[in-house]
Amino acid sequence: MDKELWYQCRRLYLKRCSNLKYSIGPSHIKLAEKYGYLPYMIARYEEIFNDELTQFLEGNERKIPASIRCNNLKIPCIMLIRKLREKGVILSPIPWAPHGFWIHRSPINIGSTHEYLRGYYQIQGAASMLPAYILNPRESEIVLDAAAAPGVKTTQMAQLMNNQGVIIAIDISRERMKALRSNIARLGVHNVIAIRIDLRKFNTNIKFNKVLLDAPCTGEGLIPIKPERKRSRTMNDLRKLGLLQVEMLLKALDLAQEGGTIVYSTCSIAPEENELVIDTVLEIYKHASITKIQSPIGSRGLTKYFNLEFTHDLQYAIRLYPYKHGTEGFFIAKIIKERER
Amino acid sequence: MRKLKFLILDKSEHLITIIAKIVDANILKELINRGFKRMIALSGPYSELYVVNEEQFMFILNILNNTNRHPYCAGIYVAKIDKKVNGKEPIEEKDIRISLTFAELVFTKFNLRKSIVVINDWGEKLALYGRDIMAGSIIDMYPPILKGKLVIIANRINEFIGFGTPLYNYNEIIKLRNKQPTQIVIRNEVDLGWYLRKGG
Repeated sequence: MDKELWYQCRRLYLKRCSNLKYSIGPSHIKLAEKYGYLPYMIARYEEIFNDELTQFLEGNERKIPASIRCNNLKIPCIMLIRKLREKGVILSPIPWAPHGFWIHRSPINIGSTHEYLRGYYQIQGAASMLPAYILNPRESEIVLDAAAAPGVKTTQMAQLMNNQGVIIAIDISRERMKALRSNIARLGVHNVIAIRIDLRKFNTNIKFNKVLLDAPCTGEGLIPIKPERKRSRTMNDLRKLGLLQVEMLLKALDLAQEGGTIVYSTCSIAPEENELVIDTVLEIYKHASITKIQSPIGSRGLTKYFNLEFTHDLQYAIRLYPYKHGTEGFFIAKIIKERER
Repeated sequence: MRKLKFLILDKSEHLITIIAKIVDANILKELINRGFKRMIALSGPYSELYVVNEEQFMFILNILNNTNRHPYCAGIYVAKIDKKVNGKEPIEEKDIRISLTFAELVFTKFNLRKSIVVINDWGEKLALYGRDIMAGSIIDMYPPILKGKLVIIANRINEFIGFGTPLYNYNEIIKLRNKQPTQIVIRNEVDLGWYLRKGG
């Protein structure tokens, strides 16, 4: 990766963060107290949701149904449904996820059934199924999962590739790599090479057809599942993670082949971790562009945030919200690496 | 730092010969037919054996050369060499522990119909909690079932549960099924419940 590009991106990201102007008023403090958030979060959410702020906050108080992804590497989905229904599980297909099912009610723990142990399904948030579908890896392709552990999306991609082609799955965490290996084994995946390494140090001459960067994030989209996230992250955390995300996205672009596709996603709704990251990187790295996501679900990406203006193409990214889409909060953008002239 | 050793599956390497003895040589041939022609051995506290296809093998070499990183895992996980005997040469049959992944693959994809013990629903529940198999739980057996030689454990609808080591030969188990149904006859080596108990 070109260090000069990284330094430029770093400078630009920090400059834009420090220029970000928002103020915390009494109404923000009141709402923060009512719903248990840090006030700075409410001020930011007001900018994103305007009139729908209360709906958003109320939505975060409601439970999101569990969801599973049928693993058709091991069982036809129709047979899995039959087996789970026989056990009294009430489930229905997620209309926009070909292998996804909502679990409405289950008399047994969905994470310890015999079918789970046999790798017939994977527990996976509904929104988190989208990045792999959007990347759409094919059987003959070489794919990089750039922050892979615990391997939920890695195994989903293996499924979409029918266990063919090659997925290089990398992650820095020793502990989470164990979970990745276990999931790969349980779900019967054979086309993965897992490497424990920091993406930023992954220096190879391999150029990938497709790259999935499901970046480490604050998890601001997971508040309905993990309410402690309402108070556990500061603006400083956002900035630190934002810088890491910028560096990782630059590296992902570097590793993609010309004409290759990068899907960037986070389980955060913070623009500082999403639109601002992508806008900063594409401002400096000239040979990539955002492309429209054909998704039946999701709201448009932001093109304005307080006093910051982003590229208009960011409207082609998608955002998912608990109150609007019934899923965890999520952000997804699809980027094409262009040919250098 | 773990070391990486490359083996070719169809060469008469000692390690390959030993694995062929445990899992049946035809299974290795079947792997080769499916393009998985290479074996990689990751040494360390445990030595893990994986089979990979040529494409995966080339990527592993590339990454090794460029980043000096060996894979954490790759392709199909075949077996582990017991840490107590790590470094000992020559490795013997008893030193190798076949992986759950590989045993399941052999059972489900390679249509192997020998050395299988089929158990009832109650036996399945117990087995998935890591318990051994009682004679009375067995509803069918596909010979050879030999004392001390690995067998696959399956349920009544032909689904893989795990694998174990018979404590008796076929005929003795048949007799015990009627006379002492609570007698443990198969030692549970690994079952799918492992994914919950230790899988991470």
